[in-house]
Amino acid sequence: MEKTRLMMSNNKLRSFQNNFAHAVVNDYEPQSFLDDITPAGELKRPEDALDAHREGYYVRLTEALGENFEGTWFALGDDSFFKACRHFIKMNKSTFYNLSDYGKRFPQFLKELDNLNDLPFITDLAKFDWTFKEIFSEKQHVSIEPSKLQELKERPNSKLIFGNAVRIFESEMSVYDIWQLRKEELQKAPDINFENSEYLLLYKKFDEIFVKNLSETQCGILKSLKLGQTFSSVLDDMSEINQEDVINLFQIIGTTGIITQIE
Amino acid sequence: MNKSFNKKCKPGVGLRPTHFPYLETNPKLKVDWFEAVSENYMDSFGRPRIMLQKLREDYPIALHGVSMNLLNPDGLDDNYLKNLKALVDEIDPFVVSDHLCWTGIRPSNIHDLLPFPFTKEALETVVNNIDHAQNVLGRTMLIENVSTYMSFGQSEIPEWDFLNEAVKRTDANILLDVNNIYVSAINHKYDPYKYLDAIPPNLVKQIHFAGYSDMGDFLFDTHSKPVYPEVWDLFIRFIKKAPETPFMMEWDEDIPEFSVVEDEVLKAVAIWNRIHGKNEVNDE
Repeated sequence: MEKTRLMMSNNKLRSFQNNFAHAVVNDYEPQSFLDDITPAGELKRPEDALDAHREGYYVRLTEALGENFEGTWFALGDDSFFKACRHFIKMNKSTFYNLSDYGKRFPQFLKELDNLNDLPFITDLAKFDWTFKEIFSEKQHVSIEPSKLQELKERPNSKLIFGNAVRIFESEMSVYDIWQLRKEELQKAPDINFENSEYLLLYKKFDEIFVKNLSETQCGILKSLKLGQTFSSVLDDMSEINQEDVINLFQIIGTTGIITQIE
Repeated sequence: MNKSFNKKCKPGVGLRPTHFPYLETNPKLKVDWFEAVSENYMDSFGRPRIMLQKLREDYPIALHGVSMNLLNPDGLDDNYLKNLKALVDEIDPFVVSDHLCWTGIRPSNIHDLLPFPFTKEALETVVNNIDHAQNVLGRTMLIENVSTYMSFGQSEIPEWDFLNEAVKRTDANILLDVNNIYVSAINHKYDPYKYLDAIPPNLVKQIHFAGYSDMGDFLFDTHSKPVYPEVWDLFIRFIKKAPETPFMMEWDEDIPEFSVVEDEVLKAVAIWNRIHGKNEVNDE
């Protein structure tokens, strides 16, 4: 009731803010809105004063995309990256208070751009950037003692509970080697074969982020386990199992600390 | 978590990620406290949050928000307040602050400190929102004046009266940005001392200073330069009246190495010593 009353009494303020937001985000401002504005200093027109906020809007969202997509920025180079950002920002409003959350749709947006055909890996690289950003912000989980994992032998129908700071990444093209070059100059980048699929485990241990290569089989098993399948049911579902793959996966699970609980 | 002030002169500096590598070497600093931008830490548990926790072991921390959106006619974002409260409970800052502005209206967030007409309606809105934020956080907030690049015909109240009224009605306090006073005063062609002298010193619990950019047609609050003499003059006038107010330097663009920012703060310490006749540089 109190909130309704407050909202009703805020009509002029809301209308002002809607007009202002339109002017900044959509470059559109009604004349009656402009008529109420006195621009700062020696600026001649209200639109000139609004430009300070319009440009700031693009700068801040571009900075956010730059921070969230470092690898993509490196691969595209400044010109293409900034052009893509401007286009993306025009089409995608920021709806979160935290700038770090801006750009989740950026990988898909890049996929839909026609002029990036010479970089077929760019969408996968952008997805990796976003995955890395996500894990960077995660709190370090408390891992189960490695010795506890031995219980799986006696209880194969147990479920493994994964830590929050764990991501399984798979992509059609190999992008991790490209991403690792992101702090280098583009001209110095060596030729990298990106044409094979890639399967990676990203995890935090002692507050540091690690990335580990997986085989396709290991990736599939981990994904199923993370979805809540029991270990025995995952193995039952697989038609052909490479024993070595499974043994190695057990070692990975034991050493990476990605499991927090056995249920 | 029990580090607090033990001196009357309280110089601080804005904590910026670009200085993390230097600060991780545990250098002997000449500033007494840090101000951290709340949003850079409240949603992330990565390296920045760990750095903030470590610094808190040795220094008082102020948490300074840029996204509370205090002029939001729809009320404040519950999720934002929840995350901020969690950070406040963890860090136990000596100050929690945000700006007298709005930052977006659903569904858009503009991520800027936006101006608004100083009307009675806007005053009711901000009073309700400050009140709500303080109730959720369980503590008094500081509200900061911002730089503006336009004014509005529908305004009914001078900015300084609006700010005073908003904090008096909510038992909040003021974070006085002397650079913002100067920028807005020149932009809107009024005397900055009229603003400064209208602010009751007892309501001010923190001071900001920074360097603006002269865009030719107007002044722009960029936090990208050393403090201008005209802004130091405002600081001098105020610190004479309220010597124990913590003060700090904001530097957010073209950020130089830490010692340069620290030297700028030491200019304020020298001013403080000159006025109050004590040598309070932190060299213990």
